[in-house]
Amino acid sequence: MNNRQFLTQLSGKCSIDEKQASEHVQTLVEVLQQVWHEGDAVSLSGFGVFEVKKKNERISVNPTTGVRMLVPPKLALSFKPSSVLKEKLR
Amino acid sequence: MDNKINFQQLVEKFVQASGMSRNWSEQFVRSFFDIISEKVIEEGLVKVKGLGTFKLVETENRESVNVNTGERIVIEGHQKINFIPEAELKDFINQPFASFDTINLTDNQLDELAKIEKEEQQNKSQSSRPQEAVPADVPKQTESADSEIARKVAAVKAMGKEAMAKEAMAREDMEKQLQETSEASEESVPSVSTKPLPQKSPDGVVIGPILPAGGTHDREVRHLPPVLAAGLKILAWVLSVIVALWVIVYAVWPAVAVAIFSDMETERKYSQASAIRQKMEYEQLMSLYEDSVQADADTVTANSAAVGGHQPDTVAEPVPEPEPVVKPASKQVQPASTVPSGKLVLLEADEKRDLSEFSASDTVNYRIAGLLAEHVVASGETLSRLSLKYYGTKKLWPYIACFNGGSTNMIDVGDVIRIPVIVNR
Repeated sequence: MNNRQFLTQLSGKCSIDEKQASEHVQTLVEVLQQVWHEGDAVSLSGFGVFEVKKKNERISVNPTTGVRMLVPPKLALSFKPSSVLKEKLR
Repeated sequence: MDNKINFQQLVEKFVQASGMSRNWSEQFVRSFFDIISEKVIEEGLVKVKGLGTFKLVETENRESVNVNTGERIVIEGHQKINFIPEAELKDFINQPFASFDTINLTDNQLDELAKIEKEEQQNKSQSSRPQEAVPADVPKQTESADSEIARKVAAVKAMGKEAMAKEAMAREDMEKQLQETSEASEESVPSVSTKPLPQKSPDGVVIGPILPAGGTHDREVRHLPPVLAAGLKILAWVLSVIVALWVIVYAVWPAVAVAIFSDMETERKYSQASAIRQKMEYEQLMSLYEDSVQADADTVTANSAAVGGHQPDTVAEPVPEPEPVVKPASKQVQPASTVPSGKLVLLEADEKRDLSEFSASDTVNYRIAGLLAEHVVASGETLSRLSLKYYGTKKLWPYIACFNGGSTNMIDVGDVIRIPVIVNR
């Protein structure tokens, strides 16, 4: 399901047109970004948890050349689906 | 930081951002995530612009062990939901660490060690090469004498003890041969014995100035066409020889002047070959020891001035016996004078005595006898280099490592390294 189909679905559910849906989705994503930027996690019951995790720096080796590289630390967004969502998968 | 935002708080934030009613916002946000979870299960893939992709991923059966019972169990393959954030979102979240880049690691310490080993081998090959050439007649002797000078310059800079020992032996061989030839023909001896000497004394206040002069000259020359460069080199060399000869001839030995001039012609032929070789060796040396040259520059001139004082006596003598003896001594003096304390006076005395017997195995014959200096490590320094600086050879670095409680050559910039006094057992 691509973005357009997603917007169509959303607009149908919330009785707005697709353009408005697109704008609101953008607003929501910006809100989420702000939350994550501050390092906060977003926990949504029935869906899952979005969390910003710090990955430590590490040394990796290029297996073909044998060159060792120092990979810098980074912040990565992770998503862990809730058990309710997992249950639905079965 | 590190708060958990729940659904209600998220809706609250969305209301503030969008200006929509609370009820509608709640419905919108709820629908947003409902559709995602619904459709990702139905269709296996949901893309949301600005956020990322939710995806169903199949996992395969895998074996595991029940931690409590130790039984082998099979975890059945199942589906799980993956979320891959968009690149833009990733970058935005990673902003605090955005300035970091992946660095290719090179083991500097190991490289440094390997380089030093190489240098040492080069020195050895440099000093052993002329050794093989046995001087037979007069022109050949001048040639090997030239290379010997180059070798001496190399040794002064390198201070590899093994190389020095070899060289000392090589020089002894040379002396013997010179003595033999002096017995054979009185005529040729003066020219042989004086030629290398004047080169050292007037040209140069001996070794020190020769090397820097040669080095800077080479650097300039590199920009010129090779033929012109070689020509300049030869010209400079020949000129210096002529000037030196004139000084000697007029001051000491007017009678020999005729003999020297007759030799001049043959000498010029060979000077070309030796000049080229000299140049090559200078270039190698300069690239290898540029740093140590700076550190040692003043001490070299000081030493060479002292040696220059001895020079007239040795020049006057037909047999060049004393000259090589003075040379090794000056070499020993040099590393000694770079070091502040009296410890190396000991070393110097030892080495004057045992120079010809000194070899690599002798590096174990020292013991630590107190603190010589404290050294703050600068960039690019290794224990080997410190050893070279304080003891005049790279081979004694294990003493420094040992004295600092370590057994490796790994040191960091800013470390304070205690340099031990070492004395002969």
